[in-house]
Amino acid sequence: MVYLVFLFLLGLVLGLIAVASNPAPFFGAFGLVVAAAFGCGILVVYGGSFLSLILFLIYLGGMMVVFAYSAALAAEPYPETWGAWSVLVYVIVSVIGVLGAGYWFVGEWDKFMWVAEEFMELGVLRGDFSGVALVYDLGGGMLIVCGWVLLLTLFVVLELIRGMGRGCLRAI
Amino acid sequence: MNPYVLMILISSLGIGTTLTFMSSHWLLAWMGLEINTLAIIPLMAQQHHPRAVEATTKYFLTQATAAAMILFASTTNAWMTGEWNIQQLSHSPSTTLVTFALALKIGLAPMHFWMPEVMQGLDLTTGLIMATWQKLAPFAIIYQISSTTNPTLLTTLGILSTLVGGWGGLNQTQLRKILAYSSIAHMGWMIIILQFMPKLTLLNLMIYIIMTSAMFMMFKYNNATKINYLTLTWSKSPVLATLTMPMLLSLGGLPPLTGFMPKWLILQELTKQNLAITASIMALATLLSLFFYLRLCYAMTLTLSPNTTNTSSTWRIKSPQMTMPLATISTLTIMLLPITPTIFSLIM
Amino acid sequence: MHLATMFNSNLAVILLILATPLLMTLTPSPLKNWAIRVKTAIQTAFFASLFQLSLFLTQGLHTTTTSWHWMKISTFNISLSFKFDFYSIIFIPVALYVSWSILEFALWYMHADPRMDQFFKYLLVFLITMIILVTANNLYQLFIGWEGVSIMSFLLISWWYGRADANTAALQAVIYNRVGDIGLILSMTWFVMNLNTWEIEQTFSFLNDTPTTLPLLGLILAATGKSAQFGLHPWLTAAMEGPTPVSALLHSSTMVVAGIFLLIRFHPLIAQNPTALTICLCLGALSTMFAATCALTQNDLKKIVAFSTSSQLGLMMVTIGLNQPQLAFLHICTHAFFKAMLFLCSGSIIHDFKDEQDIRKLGHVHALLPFTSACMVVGSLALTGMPFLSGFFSKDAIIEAMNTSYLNAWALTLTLLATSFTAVYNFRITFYALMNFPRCIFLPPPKEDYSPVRNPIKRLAWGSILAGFLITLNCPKTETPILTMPMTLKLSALLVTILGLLSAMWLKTLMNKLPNKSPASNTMTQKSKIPMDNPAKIIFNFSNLTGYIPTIMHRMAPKANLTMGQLMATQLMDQTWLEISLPKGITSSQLPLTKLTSDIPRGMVMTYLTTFIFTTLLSTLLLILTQPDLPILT
Repeated sequence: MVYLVFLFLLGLVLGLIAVASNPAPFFGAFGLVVAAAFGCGILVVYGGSFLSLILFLIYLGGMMVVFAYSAALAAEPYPETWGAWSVLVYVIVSVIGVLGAGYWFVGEWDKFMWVAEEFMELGVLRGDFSGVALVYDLGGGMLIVCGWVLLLTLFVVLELIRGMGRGCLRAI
Repeated sequence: MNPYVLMILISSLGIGTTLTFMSSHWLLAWMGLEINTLAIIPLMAQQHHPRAVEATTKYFLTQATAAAMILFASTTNAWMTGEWNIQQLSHSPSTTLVTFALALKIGLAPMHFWMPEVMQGLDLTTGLIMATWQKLAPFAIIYQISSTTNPTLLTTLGILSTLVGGWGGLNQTQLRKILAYSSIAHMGWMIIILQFMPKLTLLNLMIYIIMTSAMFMMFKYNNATKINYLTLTWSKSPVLATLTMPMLLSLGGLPPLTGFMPKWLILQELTKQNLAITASIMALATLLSLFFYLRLCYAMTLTLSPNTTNTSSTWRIKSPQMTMPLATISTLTIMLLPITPTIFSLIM
Repeated sequence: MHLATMFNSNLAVILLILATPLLMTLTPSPLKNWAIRVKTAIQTAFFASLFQLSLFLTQGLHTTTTSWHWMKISTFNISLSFKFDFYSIIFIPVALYVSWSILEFALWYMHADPRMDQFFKYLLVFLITMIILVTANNLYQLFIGWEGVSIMSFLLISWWYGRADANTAALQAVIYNRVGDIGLILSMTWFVMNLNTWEIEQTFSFLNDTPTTLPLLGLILAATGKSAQFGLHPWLTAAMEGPTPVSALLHSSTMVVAGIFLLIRFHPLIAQNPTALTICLCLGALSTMFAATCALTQNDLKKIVAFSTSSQLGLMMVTIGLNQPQLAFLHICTHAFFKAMLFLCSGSIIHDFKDEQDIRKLGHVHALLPFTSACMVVGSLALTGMPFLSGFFSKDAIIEAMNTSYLNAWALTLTLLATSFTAVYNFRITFYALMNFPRCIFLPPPKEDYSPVRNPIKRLAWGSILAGFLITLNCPKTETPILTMPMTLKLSALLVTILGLLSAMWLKTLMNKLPNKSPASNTMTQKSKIPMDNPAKIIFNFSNLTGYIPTIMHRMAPKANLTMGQLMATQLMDQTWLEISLPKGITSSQLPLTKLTSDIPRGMVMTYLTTFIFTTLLSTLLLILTQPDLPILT
C-alpha cells in the first residue's frame, strides 16, 4: 500500500515536472495525462474511488481537446523531448525545486487529507457513490452546463484551427 | 464563419454572461466567465489577420489567468470558510485575489495593459462587444463582493485607472486605443464609488455602455480607425459629424450631456463621504481624458480634410448600414441628463 | 446796516455779476461779443468789490464769517461758510483787477481763435473757483475751489490741444496737482477723524495737545503741489505751453498762489509747529534758489518769467516759514501785478514777432515796441525789488524779516543768492530782448497802439508801481517789526541785487571780449564730449536743463516703470505664467507620464502577467503584514 502511494505520488510529481519543463506540446500533453492518471490513483487510495473515476474520464475527454489543440497548433517536425538541453535544464531545476519544497514542508500533512473520511479503506460500499445521485439530481443543470462548456470548447478549437494557410493560430 | 457556429458562439456569449448574472455560487460564476471568454475568442480571430490572432491570444491568456485566479481564490475561500456563496467572500486574502483577478478581467490599472492592444487588434464590432458586453459579467461579481473588498485597494485602483486612462489616451492616434483608454478611465470611476454606493457603479456602467456603444457605432458607420479618418466624416454624414461632438463631450463628462450624470453623482457621493481630495483628484484626472476627447472633437468638427472628395457628396448616397440603433443610442448619449431623477430612483 | 450782511451781499453781488455771462450762455440763441461781456462783468465786479474793500478799511473790521448749514452726515456738519478778513477782502479786488486786465488783453491776443467765447468762459470759471477758494472758511468749500482751479488749469493749458507739448504740459499740471491733493485729502481726513470738523476756525480752537505734524505735512504737500515748490515744480514752467493770457492769470493771481494762501489760512496751526515751519523755510529757500538758478540760462522769454514766478513762490514759502503770513500775502498781491504785466508784455512781444519766444532771436524791441518795453522794464525792476516800486515793499520786508530772525542761515543764504539771481535774469531779458539790434526778420513791423494791448498793460503798470505802497499803507501790523538793525542788514536785499546786476553786466562784457574759437580749438574740445572736466559747463547744463529734474522725473521714472511693467507683462505674465507655468507646464508635467504609460506595454504578454502577479503578490503581502492575526491557511 505504502509503495503504491509512493509510486502514485512519484508519478504525479514526475508528470507535473514533465509538463512544467516546457517540452514540445505533444509531450507536455502526455505529461499532463500521466500526472492526471497518477493523481486519480492517489484519490483512489485516499478513498475517493468514484470521484477519481469521474475525474479521470472527464480529464481524458479534456485531454482529447488539449491534444487536438497541440497537434493542430504545434505540429513541429523535430519536437523537443526531455532529452533536449533546453528542456533538461527545466527538469533539473524543477526536481531541485520539488526536493527543496518537500524538505521544507515535510510533516504530518497527509493526516487530514481524506476525501471521504468515514471510509478510510478500500471497500465495496462507498460514501461517494451518493455523489452520483447528487450530481444527477441537484447538480443536473450544472452538469449540462459543464457538458456545454466542453462542447463549446471543442467548437472554439475547431473554429480556431480550421483552415490551412490563413494565418490562423499556428506556429507555422 | 459558418452561421451555425456563429449562432452557437453568440448565444454562448450571451449565456456565459447570463450564467454569471444568475449565479450565487462561485463555481457557476466562474463557469459563466469561462463560457464568455471561450465564446468570444473565435469571434475575435475571425478575420484571420495576424493582428487579430495576436489580440485573441493575448486576450485568452489574460482572461484565463484571471479566471484561474478567481477559481483559486474562491476555492481557498471555500476551504477556509466552507462557503461557496459569492456574497460570503469573507476570507480577506481571497478577497484581494478575487479583486485583482476581476481587475485584470475588466482592465483596471495597473492590470490594464492588455486592454488597448487587444482592442487595437479587433474590428469595431468586436471591439464594441469587448468594451461593453464583456464588462458585464465581471461587474456582476464585483457588485456582489463590493461589501467585503478592501477600501484602500479599491481607491488606489480607481484613481490609478482614471489617471492611466487619461495619460494613455493622450498619446494615441488610433481610435480603438483611445476608446480602450477611455474605458480604463471609466472603469476607474466605477471602482472608486464601489465601496460607498455600488448602485452608482451600476449606473455608471450603464451610461458608459451607452456612450461607448454610440462611439463604436459611429466609428463603424464611418469606418474610422484613426483620428485623421475623422476629418472625412463630414462628407459622409454631416449630421453625424455634428452630433459626434456632443457625444464625445458627453463621454468626457460635460454638462448638460448624459456623461455628466454619473460623474456628478459620484463626485457628490465622494464629497458626502468627506473625500474631497479623492473627488478632486478624480475630477482633475478626467481633464486628461477630456483633452483627447476634445482632440477628437477638433479633428472631427473643426477641421476639414485638405484633400478633395472625388465622389460628389457621399452623404447623398443612402448608407446600407443600419442607422436606427446609432440614432437611438446617440440620442441617449446626448440627452439623458434631464431624466437623472428617474434613472436614479430606478436604480436605488 | 449790519456790516456782515453788507459783506455777504457784496460777495453775492460780485459772484452774481461774474456768473451772469455764464448764465447767459444758457439762452438758446448764442450771444454776440460774449467775450467782451465777460470782460465787462469782471470789470464791474472789480468796482463792486471796491465797495467792500473801502468798507473794510474805513470801519476797521477784523474778521467776519458767515455760516449757513449745508448738510449733515451723522454727527458731522458741513456748512456753507464764508470768511471775510484782511486776506480775502484784499485778495478779491486784486484778483479781479488783474483778471480784468488780462481778459482785456486776451480780447486782442485771442481774437483770431475760433473758440474765443469758450476760452473766456474757462477763464471766468477759473476766476470764480479762485474766489470760492479764497473766501472759503471751510475745507470742503476750499476743496471745491481747489479742484476747480485744477481742472480749469488743465483745460486752459491744453487749450491748443493739437500740440503734443500742450497736452503734456496739461497732464503734468493735473498729475502734479493730484500729488498735492493727496496731501490735502489726507489733512481733511485727519481733521474729520480727529476733530470732527472742517471749519478752519474750529480746527484752531479744538486743538489741545493733538500732534498736528501729520495734517500740516499734508497741507505743505498740497501747497507744494499747487504752488510748485521744489519737487513738484516742473508743471509750472511746462504750463507755458498754454496761451499767454492763461499763463498770466495762472501765474499772477490765481492757481499758483492758492497753495501759499492755504498755508496762510492755516497759519495759526503752522505757527505752533516748529517742524512745519522749518520744512516751509527750507523748502521755500530750495525752491527759490533752484528756480532762480534755472531761470539764469533759459532762452525762452516766457520760461524765464515762469521760473521767476517759481522763484517768487519759493520766497513766499520762505516767508511762511519765517512765521510772517502777512508778508507772504503782501508778496502775493504785489507779485500779481508785475507778474501779470510781465506776461502781458511778453505776450505782446511774442505776438508781434510772429510767435518768436527765443530771446536770442529777439532784440531791438525798445525801438519797435517802446511802450511795451518800458512796461517790461518797470515790471523787471519791480520784480527785482527796486525801491518804492511795489515789489520793494514786500520783498524788502521779507528779506529784512529774515535777516533779523535767528533762523536757518542756510535758507537765508540761498534766498539772498536767489534774490541776486533775480537781477541777473531780469537783466538778461532786458539786454537780449529789448536792447541791441534785431536778430530776426519781422514783417510787417510790430504795432502796439491797440487799446486792448495798451490799456491793460498800462493799468497793470500803475498797479506795479503803486499797489505795494497802497497795500502796505493799509495793512494792519499784527507783530511789531524790528525797528533797529545794522545798515548792512537793512540794505542787504538791495546790495545783493545790485551785486547780481553788476556781475551780470561784467560777465556780458567779458563775453563780448572772448576770442572766437578757432576750428582747431574746436576739435580740441570735441575730444571731451562729456563736460565733466569743465565745472562751468556742468553748472550751465544743470541750470539750462533745469536741474535734470524733468529728465529724471518725466523720462527715467516712467521709463523705469514702463520697462518694469513690460518685463512683468511679458516675462512674468506672458512667458512665465501664461506660457511656461500653465500651458507648457502642464505639457511638460504630463508628457513624461503619458510617455511612460504608453511605453510600458510593448505588446508583450509577459508585461501583462508580470504586473498582475507582482501587484497581487504585493497587495496580499501588504494585507498579511498589516493584519498579523489573519488566518492564512488554517
